[in-house]
This record gives sequence, structure tokens and C-alpha cells, in this order.
Amino acid sequence: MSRVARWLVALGLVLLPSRAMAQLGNITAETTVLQPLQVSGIWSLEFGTVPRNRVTTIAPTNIFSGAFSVTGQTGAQIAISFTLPTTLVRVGGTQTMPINTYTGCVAATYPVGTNPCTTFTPSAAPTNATLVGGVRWFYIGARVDTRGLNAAQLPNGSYRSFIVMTAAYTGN
Amino acid sequence: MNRSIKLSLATLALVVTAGTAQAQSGNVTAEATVLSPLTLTPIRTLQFGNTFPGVLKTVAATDAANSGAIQVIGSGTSEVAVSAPSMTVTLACVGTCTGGVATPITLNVSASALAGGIDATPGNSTAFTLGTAGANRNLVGGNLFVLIGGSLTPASNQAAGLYRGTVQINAAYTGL
Repeated sequence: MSRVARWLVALGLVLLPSRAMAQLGNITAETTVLQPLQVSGIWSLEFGTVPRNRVTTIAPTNIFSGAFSVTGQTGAQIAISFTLPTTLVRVGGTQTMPINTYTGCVAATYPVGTNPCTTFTPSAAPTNATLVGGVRWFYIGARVDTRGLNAAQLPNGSYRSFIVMTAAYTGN
Repeated sequence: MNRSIKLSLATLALVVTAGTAQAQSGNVTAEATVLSPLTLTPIRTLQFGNTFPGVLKTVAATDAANSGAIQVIGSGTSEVAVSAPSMTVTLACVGTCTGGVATPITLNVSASALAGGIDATPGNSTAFTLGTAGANRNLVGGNLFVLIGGSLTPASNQAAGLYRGTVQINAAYTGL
């Protein structure tokens, strides 16, 4: 082997380890996840027996208003929104009864009326509320309108639809 | 005749002797300065603090209080290739997680390098894209601080509790 060849081999031995010696390092990543939200439908919005050609209204502070509970992390802010039906559908049929003019209020207790209830508009953009004590109660009222509907259009029977409430943490 | 043979041998001896005398030897020195090996030391945990189910939370790499930090110690101003085997890390429930589903949380890793100091003084940190392919940076005074940030979103039904994972960083001299 020539002197040149020997020199190149020696150089190679010096350079190779610098590429090969990768070092590893670790750090810990962690987070504490807070309590997930739980939304429950507690009570139906009950209009009872409604006559034809009338407007029947249930206020959110009425004992027959619909009620949802939301439980989660104490003190956290949540955003709530609703999917609101525009009609009630006759059970076992296809006839519909208009429902509109939704109103709402939020309170710290159940049933409604035992504590102040702060009003909000269910059809508006998401409404923020704070889970003081880890729970809030949301009450929904509305009106049904049977004006202009005859017996064929609105036969006797039960009419029903679903109000859907969605709650999410805002991160605040 | 005898004299003639003796002369020939003498001549031959001279030739052989002359041949030996013409050989030359030379030496070169082969030397290398071996640099101090790289060491990686964890300095700070990547801390997301409290997170809400369903809500994105991001910690910037330059967040001096919450970003993770690894100190790379080596030689002088040598260039170092920094990489991560994976840009996603799984955080798993530690102990008991309650009130939901304790599925692992995926952490998406980002990073920036800060040469020569761990503080994130504006102008002192140099953002770079940490990836599996690596990014090259020069040590400053034998140091390179790799600051680690990231983002995660617990599931909306994520069980409450502590979740933890490990971010791995690789570093190697490039030879430059």
C-alpha cells in the first residue's frame, strides 16, 4: 500500500465517527385534561293541550319549560348553541304544528324559579356561560302557533320534535 | 584466476552495498483532534398545563415558561444536525383518568433553536423547522439550546387527568 493510500485510510478513520455518533435526548411533555362536559336533557318543553287558532307560549321561567343541565370543570367558560325545530310533527302522522320564538334563560339551580335566571336567545350565535360550581341549567321556552290551521291540517294528537343543545369549552 | 574471482566478488559486494544505501525513508504524521462528544441534557418539560376537552392548546417554542428545552453541549462552533425521530408524540394517561375516555392524546411537535442561551430574548432565538430529516445549526460557545413547542387537542370526551409522553431529539456533528 502506498503512503498516499495509507494517509487516506487514516483520514477516513478520523472523519467517520463524527457522523456516526448521533446522540439522543428526551424531554417530557405533559398536560392535565380537565373534566369533560356532560349535557343532559332533563325536562321536555311541554305545551300541554293547545287549542286551534291560538298562540300558546311557554316562557323559559315557566315550570313547563324545557331544561338541560351542563356539568363540567368548575369555573370554566362554555359556549352553548341549539338546533331548534320550526315545526312539531304529529306522532304517527305527517301533519305539522309551527313552533317559533324561542327564549331561554340560564340558572344555577333546578327547577327554574328557585334562583335568578339570566335570559339569552337560543337562536343567536353561541352563548357563553360560566360553570360556577361546575354545573349550569338552561331553560328553553317557545310558542306554538295553530292559527289558520283547520282540523284536517292539524288533527287531534300528540305533536313532537327535538331540541338539540351543544356545549363546548371555550378554553377560558 | 583467484585474484580475478576475488575482484568480481568485491565488485558485486559493492553493487549490493550501493543498492542498500539508496533506499530512502520518509514519515508523515497522521493526527486528529477528537472533539468532545455531544451530550443532550433535558432542561425543561414541555408543559401544556390545564387543557379543556375539545379545545386546541398551543405552546410556542419561544414560550420561556412552558416550552420544553434540551441543551446540546459539544465543541466550539461545530455544526450540529438536529432532528426528531417523529414529529408526533403520544401522551398517555398517567394513573387514573376519569369521567370520559382515556384515549391517548396526539402532540404535534414544533421547535426553534436558540444558540448560546436558554432565554427566548427576541433576536436571540432562531426559528427553524425541526423534522425527521434534521436541521443544521452551529454551536455557540459549545452550546445549542433546542426549544420544543407543540399543540394538542384532547378529544371532547377525553377523560380528566394527567397525560404524559416523551419527545425525543437527536443531534450529531455534521463534520463541519
